[in-house]
Amino acid sequence: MNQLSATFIKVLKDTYRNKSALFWVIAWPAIWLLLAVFVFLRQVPPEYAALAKGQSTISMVTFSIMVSGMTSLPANISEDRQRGLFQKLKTMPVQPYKEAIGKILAVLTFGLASAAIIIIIGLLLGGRFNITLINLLKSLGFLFLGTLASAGVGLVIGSLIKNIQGAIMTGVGIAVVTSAISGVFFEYSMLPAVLQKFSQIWPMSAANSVIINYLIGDIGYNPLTSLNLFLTIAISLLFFTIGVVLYTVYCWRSE
Amino acid sequence: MQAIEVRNLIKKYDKIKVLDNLDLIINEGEFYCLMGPNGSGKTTLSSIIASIKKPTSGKVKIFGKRPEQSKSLIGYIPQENFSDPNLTALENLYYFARMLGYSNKDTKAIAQELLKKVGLFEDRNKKVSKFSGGMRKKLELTTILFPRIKIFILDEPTTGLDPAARRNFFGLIDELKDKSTTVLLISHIGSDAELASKVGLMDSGKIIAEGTPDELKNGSGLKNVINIEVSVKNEKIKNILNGFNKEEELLETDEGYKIYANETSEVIPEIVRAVESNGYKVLQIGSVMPSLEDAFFKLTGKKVREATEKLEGAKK
Repeated sequence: MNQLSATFIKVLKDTYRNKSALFWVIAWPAIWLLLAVFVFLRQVPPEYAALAKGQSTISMVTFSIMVSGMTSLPANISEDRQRGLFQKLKTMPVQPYKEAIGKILAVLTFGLASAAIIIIIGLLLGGRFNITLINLLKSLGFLFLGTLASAGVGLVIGSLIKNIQGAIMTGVGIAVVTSAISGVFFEYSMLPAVLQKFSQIWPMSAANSVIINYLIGDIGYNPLTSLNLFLTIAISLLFFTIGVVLYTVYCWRSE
Repeated sequence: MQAIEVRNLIKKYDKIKVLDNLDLIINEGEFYCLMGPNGSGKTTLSSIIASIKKPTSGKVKIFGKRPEQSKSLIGYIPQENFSDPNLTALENLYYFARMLGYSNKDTKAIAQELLKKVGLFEDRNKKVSKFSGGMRKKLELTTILFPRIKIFILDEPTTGLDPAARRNFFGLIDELKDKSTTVLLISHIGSDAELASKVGLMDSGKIIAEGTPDELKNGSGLKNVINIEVSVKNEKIKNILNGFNKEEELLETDEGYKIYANETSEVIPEIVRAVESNGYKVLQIGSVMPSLEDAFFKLTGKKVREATEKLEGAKK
């Protein structure tokens, strides 16, 4: 536990002291949420407005988790690689899996903490959810799945891109572009057919759709069919597995 | 007792042999310096001993065990700064102590004690990004001073430090290490290697000579080195000075030239006369004892620093 908690604390402190991470994981989703409420949802009839705001809040929570996994995690890995920390750690009696788990948990904790801030902002702006205990638990399960998928993508970026700024911009780019084209920033119904297909298989937007389905209602397609659920779970786990394998190979393997 | 034993070590990158059937024994408590230009294989050798890299073939033992089984005994300092600039000195040290397996309670006591030892206790809550290069190196030095560590492997640890900070760094090591601690220093700087009890001169993946610094210098057959600083540096002046040189090639330094001579009291006035009669000015001239870098030059015909600088320049 020592190595896991040491890594967890180090990465968490590092991330909270990183202004770029604070902007992309907390400020950006909060700004987008404000834009949604005060600009995009102004025409929504009052009886639907509260749930529409709730839906935007969920989407921004998903985005925050996504950008945390895809940006903060690779930034941290790239920084450690560039600094030669892995060289040092390889000479110490460190278990790579504990270091990796500590790192992933820290970034996820950061993502969840920022998600909590976004939920509070959403509620203060009048967002409402149809919450039942069982749906809330299922939603948290899918949020965790989306988190794993994002962390997987983050591990891939961090393992392949050594330059810190390069890793951050790649992560931000993937998170923003995929959110824009997969229905996280916009309504699923506004997407062209081909992007609707992409939205159903891109694990982060699929998880977002499932959560909205549980906590808000219909989102334009049924994300809970056996096939959709299978794809969401399988692709999320695949992303995470690929990320862990690449991280082990590129950051920890002895040459 | 043998702290480090290396037998028939070969390391190849693709088809290029970086270590060529190398043998090395370092006894417990010895301060051993591997000296040679970049590309001679010394960092690869230390990386294999520190279990960062794997050998192509051959055997490495640390106190009789494989390197992977001896990680808790090794304290490694690489060339680059590895401490986290966003964390404070104390936070960095807590991290490394806990990664080494120390409990939370022990970590706090040991970390504070170590920071006192290296003179960084007052700056313990300062972010490392605010540290000077020398302070950061001192902090990183503390990561190998934890009680269980028995072997220090220092890979060019003073890269980027000025001579005063370098001396300070090695002074601390000398002061803080136990008598039984074994030190393996990798360097291309002769004055750093002078600190070692034994030096191995490395070239093209092999240790070409080994001994105490004095043994190596005496064994090189060099008696005196004359440093000369002249008003200009050109081919004509090189030809004049080469007439006094006992080696095949005249060594060029930043300031001027190095002339290897058996005797200096008569030669120096002659050199001055020869230079000035050709219309040039001698700005400074004096004789010094040969250094380990001179011994390396004598043995290999290569200049340690120049070879290193050329390689670094090519990399850039």
